[in-house]
Amino acid sequence: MDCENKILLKISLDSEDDYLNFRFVAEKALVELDFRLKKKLLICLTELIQNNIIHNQSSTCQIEVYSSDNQIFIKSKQRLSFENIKNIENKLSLINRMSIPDLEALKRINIIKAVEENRVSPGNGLIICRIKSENKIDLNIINGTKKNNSEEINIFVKTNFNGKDN
Amino acid sequence: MEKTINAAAKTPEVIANTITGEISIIGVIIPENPIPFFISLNELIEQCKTDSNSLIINFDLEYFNTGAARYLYEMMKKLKDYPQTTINWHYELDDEDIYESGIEFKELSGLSFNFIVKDQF
Repeated sequence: MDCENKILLKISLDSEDDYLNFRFVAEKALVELDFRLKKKLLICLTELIQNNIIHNQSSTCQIEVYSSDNQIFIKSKQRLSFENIKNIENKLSLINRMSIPDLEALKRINIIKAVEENRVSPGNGLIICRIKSENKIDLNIINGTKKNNSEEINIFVKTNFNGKDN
Repeated sequence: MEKTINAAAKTPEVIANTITGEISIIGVIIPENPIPFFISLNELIEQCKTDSNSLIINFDLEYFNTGAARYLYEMMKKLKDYPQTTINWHYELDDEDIYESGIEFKELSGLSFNFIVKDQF
């Protein structure tokens, strides 16, 4: 299956410069894609990378964007604490069951609440990935990567060329 | 008097004319910590409100992250108390993400928005 994948972008983010330059690298790598699809991918990539920056910038974050079987995938590999992984699993369990209109409503509520409660982040990163991709988001824990209180995970965001779910 | 905030890798260029009260925000807003950028932007807005009797904000955004969305909403919410505000939301014709974001901010803030399709040339 892997041999059928066409890699559009593959990058390891190790340093502050990597994070600063990521946007330009990604925009260049995805330049041939349809404008609307490219925009959605950039929005999702921004959120996935920032999850790593906020929760574990000291660890390398690997990002891949590839096409396979008329779909485009984002794979984000990150090392996160057990607690963060559990939080993400719980969040995905909820938002993967929700419809796009319900997710849009939840996103708005989170923005309003973040302002009312004076929180910096509304916690909408994965919700945005789910809305923009219109697909469920998958997470798998990479076996044999346990270290201290952390583990490596892959987060997969799948988007079709036409932006519609199969 | 023209005042600017220079564009950086994760923050947009801001050009403000404090006499006319016109502010243009151009580019991406994707910093992990949006607070420093929005402090500077809010200072410019306050200065425009002081020096001019109207406020025109031109949003010409490529994309922004969820943290920036929270601060954009807060900024617009405050502008609701300043009725002399005009919001111009610029977007490319096929940019449904930015257009829909504009609709969302309009509904969330209760402000009146002018939606302006950007010149395709």
